[in-house]
Amino acid sequence: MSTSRIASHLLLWAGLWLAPLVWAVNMQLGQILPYADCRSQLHASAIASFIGSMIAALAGLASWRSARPASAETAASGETASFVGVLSSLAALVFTFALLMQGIASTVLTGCER
Amino acid sequence: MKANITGPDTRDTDLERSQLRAELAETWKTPRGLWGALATVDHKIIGRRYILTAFVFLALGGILAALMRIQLAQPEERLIGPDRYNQIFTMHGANMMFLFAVPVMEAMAVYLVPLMVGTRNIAFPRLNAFSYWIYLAGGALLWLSFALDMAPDVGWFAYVPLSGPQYGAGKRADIWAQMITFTELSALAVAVELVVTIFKQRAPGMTLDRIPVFVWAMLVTAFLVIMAMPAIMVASTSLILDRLVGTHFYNPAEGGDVLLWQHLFWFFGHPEVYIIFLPAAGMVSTMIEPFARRPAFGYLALVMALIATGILSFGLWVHHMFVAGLPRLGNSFFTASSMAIAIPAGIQIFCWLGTLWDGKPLFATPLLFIIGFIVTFVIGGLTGVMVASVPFDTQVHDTYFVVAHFHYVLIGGAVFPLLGAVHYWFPKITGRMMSETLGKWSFWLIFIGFNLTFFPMHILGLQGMPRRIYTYQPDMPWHGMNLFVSLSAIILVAGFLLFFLNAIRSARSGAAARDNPWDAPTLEWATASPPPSYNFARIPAVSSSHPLWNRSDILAVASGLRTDRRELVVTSLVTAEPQAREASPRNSIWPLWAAIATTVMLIWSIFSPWAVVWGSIPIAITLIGWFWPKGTPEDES
Repeated sequence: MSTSRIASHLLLWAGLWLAPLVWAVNMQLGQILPYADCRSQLHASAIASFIGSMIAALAGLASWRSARPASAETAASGETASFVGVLSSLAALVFTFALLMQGIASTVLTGCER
Repeated sequence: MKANITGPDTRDTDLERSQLRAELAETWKTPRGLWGALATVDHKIIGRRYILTAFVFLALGGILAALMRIQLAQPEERLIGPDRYNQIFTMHGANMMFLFAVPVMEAMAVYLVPLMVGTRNIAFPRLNAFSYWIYLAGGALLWLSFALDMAPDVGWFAYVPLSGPQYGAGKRADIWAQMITFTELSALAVAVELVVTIFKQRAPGMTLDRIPVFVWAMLVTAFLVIMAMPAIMVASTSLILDRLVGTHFYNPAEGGDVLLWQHLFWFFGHPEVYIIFLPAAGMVSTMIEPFARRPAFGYLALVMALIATGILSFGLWVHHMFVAGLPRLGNSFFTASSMAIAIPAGIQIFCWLGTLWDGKPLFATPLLFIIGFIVTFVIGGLTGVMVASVPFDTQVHDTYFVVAHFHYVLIGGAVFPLLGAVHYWFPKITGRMMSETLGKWSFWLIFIGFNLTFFPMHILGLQGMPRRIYTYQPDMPWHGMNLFVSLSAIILVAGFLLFFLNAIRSARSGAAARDNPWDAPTLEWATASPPPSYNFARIPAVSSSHPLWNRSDILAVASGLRTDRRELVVTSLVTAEPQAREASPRNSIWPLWAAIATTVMLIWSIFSPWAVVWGSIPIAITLIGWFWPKGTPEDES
């Protein structure tokens, strides 16, 4: 498989792997960063969440743009590629929303609450 | 399909229909008698066994629930003592989660997925047989311990230190932990089989966007099982090590951590809810089509919702630990994810409502159960969003509010669709129809009985009644409501009895079913009711997501498979293009021997760590027998 083909596959599926990956990483940061937030009042959790939400949204956009049937070899695989692309972009929206919610929560808490 | 054949051509291409069926029946048959029953690897026979066994466990768990309701009907009741009550609520929870809910969903998939994707058997059929025997052994271990008054008494999540060596004397907690090993081993085996079946054995032409929604749901569920269940196996194994060998995973005095248990358990425990719910959602999306008489609205959105729900389910586990003292900011991340998961759940509900709204609903029993599911699951979902909020959860944690919430989610979200699914697929499995009259009666009794039983528990929880108490004092303001709940449970029990009566009676003397009595669009209805041992005389070729609705006259089929050996078509992952012919193993007694050897080792290891060493020798012998070439045509690769 050529490099460009791998790249196009990664972009097509980006909403289904990159967006959840960013969300999963942010879940872990949410357990680590509150201690730093409490000490220095950096709002690092909020910053990480908002950056994560932007990456998730961009992943969804990349999937959406890759979901063009013309790029496929046959009509059937074109329909399937379109299905995967739209599916990925919609899934990315859900993760973007979850990350935004986490970002908003991080702005109203200091990290020191127990 | 092209193939290199060295001997005589035994492919099905030029065979007459009757000769083809006769040859396939001979190749794929399960011999009559006890030996044949023990050695079979037919996914339909094993699936049926799984389903029946799971429903037996449902009935046993229901009897325990009824006992608890009798005990709580009035204050200071002395029917059951505190020790037995602890065993009963632990057995009820563990039985319903590990021996009924998860296995029954996988069992339905074991039976249905190969038929729905148009193949002749599940992938790794001997592993499938092994998984059933292991599941049966795990269930027998738990229930025998209960009969011997040594059942687990530590709750279905067996928190340490209560289940640890300091407070959990005897072998009760060990039996819980080892029952986990049995059932998770079984669930993991089925999950692997399902992933491979769905990825590589789909009928030619069944591209990703043509897979039935139930099959999608089982694919997501299988991945959830594969990723979540190792956590609980690690937890239960380390608990046994603490109790038997003297390790200190959960002993803070020696550097262990009790919160580690909660993290490990709930990292599995919350996806577990979706391991139960997602198959049910898939069943609803599949069943709703013939009864709405139109394709499901929003196929793509339904699939997206299943996948997003599955992934998000791994980011919710700390909402079970909101009172454990973790940082509030960290908790808020889990609140956010817990509320975000309501989005894909809501999308599915709107898709089902849209399907019914634009269809011409036929209010047969399965559709009644679907509507009952939507109503109860929405209520359970709303209280789920409530308990995702830290301040609210802190108030109602460990009260009957939570009991009400999760019964609405699990019975509403899984049992209602499952009962609908039994009515729907009963004709395919047995060749007979269930009684509609009894079906409708049982639905209304269960629906009314369920809501009258569990809705008041919200109020009991808000009034402060804690979970897991075996009795309460007369001056508490709970006894009127508890009596009402217990009386309502009689209606619920009557509904379930009627359901079982209907199933048994219909299996014996129900009206004969046609191949496709509901005029449904998916492939399992393209074969006879019940299906022959080989499922399909010729493998269907699919050109749409509703192959039995969109055909012009007859279903296209693929040919070229051999009839003298068990053969399947292997297709590509995304576009389901035929890639190869693959052998499917014949019947074998070795999975049963392997399961017996594994059972001996696991139970022995409750008492001695050396069991792992000596017990692994018979297991190795049985596995060698399992994989040793048998001199059958299937040995050719």
